[in-house]
Amino acid sequence: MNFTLISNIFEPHVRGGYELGCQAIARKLATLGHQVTVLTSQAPGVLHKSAGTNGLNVRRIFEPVFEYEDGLSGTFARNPFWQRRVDNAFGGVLPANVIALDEHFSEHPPEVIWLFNPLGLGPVGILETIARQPARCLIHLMDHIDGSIASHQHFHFYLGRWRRIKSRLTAISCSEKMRAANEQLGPYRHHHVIYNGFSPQEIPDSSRSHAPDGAFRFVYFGQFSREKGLPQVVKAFAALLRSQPTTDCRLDLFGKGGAAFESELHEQIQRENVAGRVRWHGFTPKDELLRRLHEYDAAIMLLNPSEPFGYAPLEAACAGLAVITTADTGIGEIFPKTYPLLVANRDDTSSVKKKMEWCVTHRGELRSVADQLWKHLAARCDFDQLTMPAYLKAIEACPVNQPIPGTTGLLAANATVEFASHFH
Amino acid sequence: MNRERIALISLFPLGNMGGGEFLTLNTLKAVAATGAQCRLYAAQREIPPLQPLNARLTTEFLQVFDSESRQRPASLAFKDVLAACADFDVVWVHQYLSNDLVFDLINTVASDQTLLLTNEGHEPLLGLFNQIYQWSPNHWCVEISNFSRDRAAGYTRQTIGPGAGAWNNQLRNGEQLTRPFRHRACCIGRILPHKGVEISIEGLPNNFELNVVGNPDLDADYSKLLRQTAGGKHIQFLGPLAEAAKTRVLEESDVLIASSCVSLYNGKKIEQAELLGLVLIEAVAAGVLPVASDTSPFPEVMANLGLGEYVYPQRDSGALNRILQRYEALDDQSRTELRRRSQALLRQHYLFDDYWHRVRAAIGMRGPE
Repeated sequence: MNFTLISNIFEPHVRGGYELGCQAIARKLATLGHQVTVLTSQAPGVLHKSAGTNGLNVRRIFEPVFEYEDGLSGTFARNPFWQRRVDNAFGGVLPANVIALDEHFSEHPPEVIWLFNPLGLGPVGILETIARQPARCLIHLMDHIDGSIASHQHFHFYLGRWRRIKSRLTAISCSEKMRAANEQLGPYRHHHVIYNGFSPQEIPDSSRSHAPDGAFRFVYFGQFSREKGLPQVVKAFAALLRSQPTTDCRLDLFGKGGAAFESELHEQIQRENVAGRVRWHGFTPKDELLRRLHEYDAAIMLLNPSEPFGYAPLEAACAGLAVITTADTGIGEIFPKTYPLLVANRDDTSSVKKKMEWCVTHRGELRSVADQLWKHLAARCDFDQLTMPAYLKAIEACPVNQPIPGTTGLLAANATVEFASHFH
Repeated sequence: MNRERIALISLFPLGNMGGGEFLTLNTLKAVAATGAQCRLYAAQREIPPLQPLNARLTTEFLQVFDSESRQRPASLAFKDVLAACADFDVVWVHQYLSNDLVFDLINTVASDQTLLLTNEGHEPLLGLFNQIYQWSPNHWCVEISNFSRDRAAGYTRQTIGPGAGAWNNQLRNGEQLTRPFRHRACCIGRILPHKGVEISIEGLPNNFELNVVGNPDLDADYSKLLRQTAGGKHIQFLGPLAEAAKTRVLEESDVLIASSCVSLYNGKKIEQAELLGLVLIEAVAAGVLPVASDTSPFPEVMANLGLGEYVYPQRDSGALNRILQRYEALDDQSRTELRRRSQALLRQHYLFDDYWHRVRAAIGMRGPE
């Protein structure tokens, strides 16, 4: 089939699991013999974050998404033009993106349109343009899209329109948590929950069989942000070192975040007096990271309870690591109920420290704990065996939309309300 | 069969029953009568023409009617009205030139929905709307006369003017159509300068009596002028009457006089005085013969009712006097025939019974499948 996948950002502009999930699905579709085009935004300047090549047919037809950049957001936070731009990009319409997408569809009509993260592209305009196409139209939800749209309505009110358009799309959510969050502004036509998948083949066999020795090494990998729980990780690690002064424990951090947060985290590491035991690796390409996971005993990821899914704990488990992680995340929904390393409250430093101590004192059992965890998760999240077939089944069941010609309605309404807003 | 889903939203309160409110409520009835799923929302009180977004979203509305529920009218915020629009295939906004909430509705209606806009005369937003509104293929101005349609043509290419003013089962027949002439005339409507009531009084032949129905307290100077003008003639000012009493006055009249004008008694000029002339249609439905000034859209309505020759130049009381005498000069049979013919034409042009079908046909919208 002829697939068009749409993601707000794509390599070399990378933030996290959403666009990487889109990339994995695009690759898999291509290997299954489907025709795949990925539509995304331009990535000039600071947005060009990695040198990766993905071998996919990627067309960068949308405006750059600068609004995620901490530095720019901080600089322009009180600027009304920036605020209006952010509102339109995250909760409204960007006419240029609507026109570009409509032109693309008229030249390359797809059979399946699979929308990933629409934030930053003017989600209302993007969704409406998709819903007008005579195709199977789906949205893949790995973030709080409804919540983001609701919080970006300072200049115009799009929630009625958004609710209407949703009813013309089929949705796939990566967790029950996401399904509930994304029905807040109205239901989709159909809404499936299919947990994100991970392919065990991505972990080299040699890594999985290796058992580390020497210093006990914890690892965190993923976005560097407050939401991902890094301050809590560092705090609990410091508590562990205080309670186990004779044990040689290390914490390695892989990833990248905004400059302001990274600066705060550096300060915290100094303040907690653990700088000598923490190694800061920065951004590391995913394949290299996965190759190196065998060097560690356990992963620690204290993700925010609102975390839509959490790829990192899944990848760590597949790599044979025991994972200390929070219970209320999307992936937490499918952890075994008896799993010993689930954290109920990441701000309870004593409790997190105890889980870390348990790892240190039960080092010999960690491999078994990790194997059982992966066995449990693989029965729900094996990308090739379960996840991708479930996606394809959902696509097969998705009806083809009745076409609605032209973007004039959307663009005319947008122009009218933009003009009107200048009179207030 | 899929039922049509239609939301009707009045941006002006429906509390005081005037021509606009009458049209809104009867539009609801006309839509509901086709079996469509419909709901009516109305502003709780008059809304300022321009407000910031937060004030607009929290504006109080009333859910007046829901074809799917017998619940009593419920209060809700405008943002909830906007959210509810998603459930309807057609969103029909009455009094769309009242205030800028219309722009939020324009923003809310998606490409797969139809937005209908009807002006009923309260139009403080007209200038701004005219400047900034961008027409769209799924928007239609469903105006209440060709005159109103042509005004809207200044800002949209998609405008129609099907009028409606009466239900078929309300048309009087029998003795009401054959009764003898008793020299009774009436004026019905708000007592305001643009209604030209002083012309109706001046043009009244001496052997006629005139009953004036309407609130005299809206413009004290004007009411004073009318009382002075009425001196020596058979004029009664009946004040604002309840619907039933008003209908009784109308049905007991031989002639209804509608003298609306855009040039006022005090020298002032206005852009428009009427958008339909509902009272002309009500008169014909009641078996009463109307006389109207040539203020638009009266000539259009009178022509559609087959009464084009009973139109006089606005503010020309002499011409009005001559038309009233022509009615008087007709024999009873001719008057009866004229009443019957105008009612037949009313059925053709102005019934609420087929109003929604006529609107749908005019905008090329398919019915339920």
